[in-house]
Amino acid sequence: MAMNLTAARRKMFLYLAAGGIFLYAAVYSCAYLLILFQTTNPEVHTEIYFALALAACITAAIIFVLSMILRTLIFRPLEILDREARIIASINPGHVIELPGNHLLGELPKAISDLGEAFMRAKRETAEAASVISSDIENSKIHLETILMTLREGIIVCDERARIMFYNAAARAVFHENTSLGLGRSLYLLCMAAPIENALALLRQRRTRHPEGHDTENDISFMCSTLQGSLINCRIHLLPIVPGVSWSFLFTCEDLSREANARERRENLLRMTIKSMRGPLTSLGLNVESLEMLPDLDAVNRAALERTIVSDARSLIGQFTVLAREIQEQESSRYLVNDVFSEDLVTCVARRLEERKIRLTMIGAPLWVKADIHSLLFLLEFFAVKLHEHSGVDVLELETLLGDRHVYFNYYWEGVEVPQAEIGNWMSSFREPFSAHTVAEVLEHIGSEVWSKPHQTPGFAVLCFPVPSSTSQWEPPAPLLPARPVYTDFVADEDAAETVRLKDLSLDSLSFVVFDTETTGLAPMEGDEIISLAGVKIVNMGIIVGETFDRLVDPRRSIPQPSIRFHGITDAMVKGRPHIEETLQAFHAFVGDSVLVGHNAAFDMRFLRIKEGRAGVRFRGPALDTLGLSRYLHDHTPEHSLDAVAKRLGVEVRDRHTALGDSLITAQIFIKLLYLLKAQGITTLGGALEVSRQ
Amino acid sequence: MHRILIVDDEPNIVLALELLMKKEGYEVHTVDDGERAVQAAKELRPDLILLDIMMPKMDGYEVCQRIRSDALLKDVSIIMLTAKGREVEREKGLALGADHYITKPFSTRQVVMKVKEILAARSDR
Repeated sequence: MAMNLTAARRKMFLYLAAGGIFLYAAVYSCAYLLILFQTTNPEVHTEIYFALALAACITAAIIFVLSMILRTLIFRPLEILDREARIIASINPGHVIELPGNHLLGELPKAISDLGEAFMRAKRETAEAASVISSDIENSKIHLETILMTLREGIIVCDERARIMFYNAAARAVFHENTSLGLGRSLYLLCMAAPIENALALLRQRRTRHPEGHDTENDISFMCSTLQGSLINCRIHLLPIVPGVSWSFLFTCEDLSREANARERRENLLRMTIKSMRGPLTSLGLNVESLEMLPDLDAVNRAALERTIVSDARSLIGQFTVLAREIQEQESSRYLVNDVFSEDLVTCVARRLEERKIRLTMIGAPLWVKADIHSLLFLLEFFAVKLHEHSGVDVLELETLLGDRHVYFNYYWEGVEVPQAEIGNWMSSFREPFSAHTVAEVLEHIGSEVWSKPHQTPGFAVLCFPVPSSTSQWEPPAPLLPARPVYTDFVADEDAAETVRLKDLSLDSLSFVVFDTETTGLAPMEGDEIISLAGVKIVNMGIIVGETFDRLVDPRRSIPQPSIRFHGITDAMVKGRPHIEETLQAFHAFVGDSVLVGHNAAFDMRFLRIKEGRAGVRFRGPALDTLGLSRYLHDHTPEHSLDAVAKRLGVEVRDRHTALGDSLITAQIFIKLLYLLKAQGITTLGGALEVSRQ
Repeated sequence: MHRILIVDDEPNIVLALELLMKKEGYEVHTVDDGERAVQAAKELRPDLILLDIMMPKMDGYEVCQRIRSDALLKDVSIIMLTAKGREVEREKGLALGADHYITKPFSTRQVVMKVKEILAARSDR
């Protein structure tokens, strides 16, 4: 459009000039003809020529003045209006149009402002409508993420190249907080690659054979060991291919080590016991048989034989006792038990008993137990009901007492104790009408027994059953779940970049690092140094919130007072920080293949370039200057300071004069400038560089 | 002479214990089920009962509870000798009135020592 205006302006000027010349020619011709008809006096002719020449000059002057007036009052304002309108249309609907006072555009600027306001209103309404929908989506997303984070199974989502795109807290636990586990890192830093790649190859092969295969054909389970040496049970599930999404497969894992260890221990124990029992059993058998076969053996030999028999027997008994104890200890860990607080249980049961008009009151301090909750709830209710039937009481008290390794659930009521015989009858009733288990089996299942005896206080009785105690009695509560993960759903395509020349790269596809420095002064050649370096990454026209660079640098010199007043960084703050060489190396790693961008980038680049040699790094290519871009896009105003540009484009200014704060402002400005450039038809890096240098 | 009643349904064990106790000079009676045990206890009024738990018809727990609930038998010492080795089973036995609880397999020396100890304590009373 700017082109059109200039062309229009030129055309208008040409018309004016043509019109002027034509008018002059017409006047001249008329005058000439008049004079010709009226006189042939040469002197009069000279005067007439002079007058005509004067008229020509006056006409030219009038044309010139007219065109200047038109330019100031119409064309220039139109140009400015065009740009302002563009700003309103594309990036900042709330922008106030700045026009120089005198113009002949009448109500046009106001009309455009009104349009802008209407546009802003419409945009806001659309945004509000959209936010309602997106908040629903956001809620679903939060729910899903919460579910994923609470799963005990470790979940890792990877892309095609086995780079980690998402993982939950359980995965971190399975890999014992290994720091190699992170977004964008390879899964093969954690596990052996071979079994995983084999599984993937097999699954992909299956998929090509059966593209519409059932979901169950898309996964393979197997055990593998981590690079840290623990054993995990894993499952790989191929995810459906969705264009634009780089998630490729799901890797779920469970730590088997603990379970495997327990099983191994038990097997070892059994094996060892069998081995060591063979000997004594054999000799015992032999010796006893000898005794039988040699009734006339002399006393000495007989005594010897008997001694051996005794010692063999003792050895066997000893080994058996050890085995029995070990097995018993491992028994409780076999079932799926949970830690549960007795108060929660009793409250639950009491509520149910109320329906039967039985009041169960808890007394004493509640304790933690480790048992199958379902069985425990059943027993608590069952015993209460039975006691009610046995003694006729409506009121029962329940207390939990702490023993060595058990918590004792004690019922107290007014009456006599329950005879074992009656308890025996209770034991043989079935848990539920169609259940296969008797009450005795349930008790057995939770490793308990039940008995009744008189209470210390005469007239009262006790029913007691112990339940394994839980270590939660003494352990602090588990730590809170970590915050929601930040995950990435894009993949920078590195292979394509190599083959295309930098300047022809489209701005859309590039990644940028918008950076800023704080320095001790303005003269890098005279000893001024960088004291703060920050960078913000932009990919796909968006700022990556989780990846920023922000470091203070020890400049190996003192910071002058006026400089400190400007940015607030004191000598104390930079003392002990890494030097510029180390920081530049880290910054170089952070930048990678991105294009550097800065406001008045030349200034910052000068500082960087001087130290490149010492740091052993080289920053590729020219840096894009947002100052230059702003000048090109808005040449009607001389205000191109960071604050002015930010205000013009509607960017919030925060943390000014800090490297990171300025980088963020510049980054947001840069994205908006990119949109404006795109509207002007500038889409390559080369194009942007060119216009920013004008 | 102290009177001992042995209650167990396993004949091999009964035999071994009987010989052992007789050797120590005690008067020994044996019974092989729970019902008869209670009856025998009431009739004989022994000083000490060696009681197994796992018996048909009436188990050792019930025997113990019944004996303890009889005022005349309050003073009888009861040692439970049983294959029920779990901690909770031991506690149940002691809670129901046993004075001591020994799990099988046990050593004879262990039993003899305990019997002597308990009977000595009774004499002191």
